[in-house]
Amino acid sequence: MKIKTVAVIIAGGLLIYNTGYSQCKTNVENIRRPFYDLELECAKTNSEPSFISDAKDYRALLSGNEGAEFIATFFSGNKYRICACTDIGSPLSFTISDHKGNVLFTNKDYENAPYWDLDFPVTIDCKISVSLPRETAEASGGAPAAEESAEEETPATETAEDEAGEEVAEEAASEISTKFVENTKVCAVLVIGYKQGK
Amino acid sequence: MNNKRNLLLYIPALLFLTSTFLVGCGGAEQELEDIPQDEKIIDEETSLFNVDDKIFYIPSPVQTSLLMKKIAAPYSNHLLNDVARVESYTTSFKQAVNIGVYGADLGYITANNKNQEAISHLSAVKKLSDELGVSSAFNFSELEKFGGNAGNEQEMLTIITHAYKSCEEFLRDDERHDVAGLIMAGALIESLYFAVNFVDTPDNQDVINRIGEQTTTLDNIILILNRHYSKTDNIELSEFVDLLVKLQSEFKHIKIHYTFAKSTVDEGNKLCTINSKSVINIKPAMIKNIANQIKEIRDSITS
Repeated sequence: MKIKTVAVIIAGGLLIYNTGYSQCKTNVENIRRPFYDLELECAKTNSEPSFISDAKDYRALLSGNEGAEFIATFFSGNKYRICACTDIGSPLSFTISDHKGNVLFTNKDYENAPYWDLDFPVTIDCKISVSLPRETAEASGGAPAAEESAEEETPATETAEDEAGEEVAEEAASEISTKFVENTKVCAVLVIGYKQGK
Repeated sequence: MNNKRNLLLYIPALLFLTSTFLVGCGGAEQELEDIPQDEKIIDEETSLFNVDDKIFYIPSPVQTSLLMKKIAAPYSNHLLNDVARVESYTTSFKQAVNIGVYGADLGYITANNKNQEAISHLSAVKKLSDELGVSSAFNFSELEKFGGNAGNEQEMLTIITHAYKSCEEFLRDDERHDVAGLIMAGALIESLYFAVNFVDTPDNQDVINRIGEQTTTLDNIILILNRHYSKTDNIELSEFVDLLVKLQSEFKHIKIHYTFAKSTVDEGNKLCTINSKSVINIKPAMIKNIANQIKEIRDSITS
């Protein structure tokens, strides 16, 4: 199983290598663009010049119910704008948790809004999780929505405890990843800007 | 045998590409945890921000220096590293670390609207990057817009931010993680130097907080540079790491008490205010030690 997982990741790497950094979709068939283009478009649409980029890349190729995690330090006295985009124009879910796992904010509670501002009066090391909402997964032709909702309904603690179940789920996810890696992976990006508070 | 060797050479490239694109800077795909140990070791060497299974966030030189803008006030140009010294930086260690120092200076200068002073610092960065072989990554044609953007603080900060980001990406792609780490370390030390010069001001809690908040960044930079530690092959870097580790031991006395509280959301303005609390405690004697060590390190890298 583990070997299969590695194989999927390496396959992703090969695909990326062969497409020369341009793996995100455009409106034109068979024309691809790099992540950078998507980030630029995302910032232009959702941010303002007063926010300075934090100069970090938050990029993931996702399908179905896959997710990715990033880490970031949010510094006190700064207001941050977090913009979340996909290359197919459908929304991207993001959740910000502190280093203890407490959720500070999630755009899932606000119809997966494409951007949100966060005011940090204190400095916190955070984890940012991104995933595809059902409509985005469906639009990409990825995993069936039923699978996604099934995972959402499963409490994280139970998933962690059920090793056998997890392996089966991972196996299934690997199969899905393998099947859809070329056609349905969605480019997901976050663009984070900051400005100093008054 | 040859095929096996080729494969071993190929795996790091694949994993690097994978970590760059699936993970991104600071990102983590959970499945990487499943990689067998021998392959995992290769992966660790391929990405700047992924060392020993830890993924790091290190703020850009501009962001670090901007954090100090409020506390390092009023603006004092005597805090900046003299650009006349640039000629004396002849080793790659000094060149790299001072690209970071001048980067933090650029952020501080620009944030204080002293744009003409920025031009001389920019020239210093250009000279050092030329000598270090990274000037193409800096995209100086973009930086030359500085003249045309004098007065536009936001635009200038954005240009510097992008320039340093391009440089960081170039070094990461080139697997020159030591150079990238030194640039970030230089920026951190210079920014801390701004702060410690204001530590004796009355009502200095904000200054103390800003210094204490850099603990994680310092830890991360040490972990990155430690991989290149060698008293025989990399003397300057190793001596610098020794100083950073000594500083780190002082930082360990800083106590941060974090308490979670539910955030407040203003849906109409799409604004979330974090209500969690964080209290940073440093005894006055400790802050003195930290300040002295930062000054010592800063002197050693800029002299």
